[in-house]
Order: sequence, then structure tokens, then C-alpha cells
Amino acid sequence: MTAMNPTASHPTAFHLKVLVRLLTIGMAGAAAGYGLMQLVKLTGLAVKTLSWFDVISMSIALGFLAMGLVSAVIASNRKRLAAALESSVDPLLVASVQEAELPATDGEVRTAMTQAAVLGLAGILMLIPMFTIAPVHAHPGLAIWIFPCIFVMFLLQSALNLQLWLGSDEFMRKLILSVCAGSFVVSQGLLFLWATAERLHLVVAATSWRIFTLMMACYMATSFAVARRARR
Amino acid sequence: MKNKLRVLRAERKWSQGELSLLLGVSRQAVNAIETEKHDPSLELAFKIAQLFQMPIEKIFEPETR
Repeated sequence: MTAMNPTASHPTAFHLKVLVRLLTIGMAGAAAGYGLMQLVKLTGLAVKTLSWFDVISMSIALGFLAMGLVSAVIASNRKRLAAALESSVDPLLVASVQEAELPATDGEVRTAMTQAAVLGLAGILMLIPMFTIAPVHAHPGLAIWIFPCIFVMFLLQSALNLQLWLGSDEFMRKLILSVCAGSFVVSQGLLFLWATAERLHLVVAATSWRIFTLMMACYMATSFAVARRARR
Repeated sequence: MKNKLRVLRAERKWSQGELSLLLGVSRQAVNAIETEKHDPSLELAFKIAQLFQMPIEKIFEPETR
């Protein structure tokens, strides 16, 4: 089956769809930004005192949350999910290369929802330590209650991740392993350079949160690269 | 590896989703094999051959250098 050119037959309709999608994404982004500001006010997060690594980790966390939300929205419609699974072009899902004839099955919906939950939880887990800085500073005893909650959420997220792995086929496992291997190679290289520079007293010592942020940045970059290669 | 999976699927009027169910793999796997992004494992290649009742070498063609 040859690929359709989505613009050829209905150019105006296609461009209108792209515009609507982009506007929707923009509005969702604006709403998310407003929500974030409200959260910052509520938790008393001192934005001006955030370091570059804090900004990066917050961006990564929000990225995970956004991806989880988008995945959940796509998974909520079986035809849309089927098109997303089969589409090798058109990330906005305006016009699929091939119109999916078979709507998503129960198993596919379950997997997509689990992936959405894993991404969403990853974002929340990364944000909690950032947004509880001020409350814990004011009431140090809070940390004893916050950490167990984070730990339980971490266990839940890990269990869902394991469930995804066990339910994956050879192709999905190959993608997962490619991302793991790629992100390990890149992050260990960058960490080696930082560690060496630190030994030579050229840079400040890296905290564990900074190392974690670096690893997650490498993981995200590698995920995008692998997913892009798989889709082309 | 070049393959005739898309052609064979189209001849039987199967969608990617239907083929994925028959093979017990994801739609992404079927798409990746058809677009030559992924070479199936030996087990999956034999399943495909069995499904289409053809020898493996009639479906998959190794790239010559």
C-alpha cells in the first residue's frame, strides 16, 4: 500500500486541521503554564533561586507529564490510538499514512494507558522534590512523611514499567533496550567528563540530583532519537 | 532486510492490525517490518512463513552488498 499525500486531495482541509491541532496544543500549553504558576504560588517555590539544573529537571518533568497526558488523550479514542500505532508519519495525527481499519483492541488500550501512567508518574515524581523544598524548609518534619509517599509512587511506577516490559513484543523490547543502551553510553560519557573536571577542581561537585537530571536528559534525548528513527 | 510482507498482506486484504493479531505482535512491529526498520527474529519469521504458507526465503530477501 503506497503512502497517501495528505495535502494533495484536500489542501485547505488538511491545513485547517493542522492549524486546529497546533492551536489546541498551544491552548493546552497555556493552561498548563497557568496551572504551574498557581502551583508555584501555592507551594512557595522561590523561582529566582532555581539553578540551571533545577530548570532542566523541571522541564523534563513537565515534558513527561505532557507526554503522559497526550498519550492518555490518544488512548481514550480507539480509532485514534490505532492510527497512532500504525502511523509512520504525521506526528500530529491529522492524516495517517494508512487509515487504521481495525480500532485498537482492549490490550492495546490497556498498554497505552499504562504507558501514559508511567510517563505521568515519572513527571510527578520529579516535580515533588522541587515543589516541597519550601514547605520542608519551613517544617523539616514534613520530609519524613513526603519521602515514603515518593517511595510508594516510585514502586508503583516501577511495577507499571515492568508490566510494560513483560507485555512487550520483540520490536518494542528492541526499542526499549536501544534507549537504555544509548542513554547509558551518553550519560556515562558526560558524567566521566564532569567527574574528571571535578577531580581537577575545574567545576563544582555534582549533587546526586544534578547527576540524576543529567541522566534523565540523556534518556529523553535518546528516546526521541530512537523513536524518530523507528518512525521514518 | 527487504520483504514482501506488505504485498502479501494486501493480497489477503488484511489490515496491519489484523496481521498483528494473527502474529501475536504489536502493530508497530508489523509496520516496522513492512518499512524494513526491523528484521524479525527467527521465531517470528517462521510464524510469518507459516501464516502465508510460503518459505521464508520467498518472503524475506537479504540485502546483497
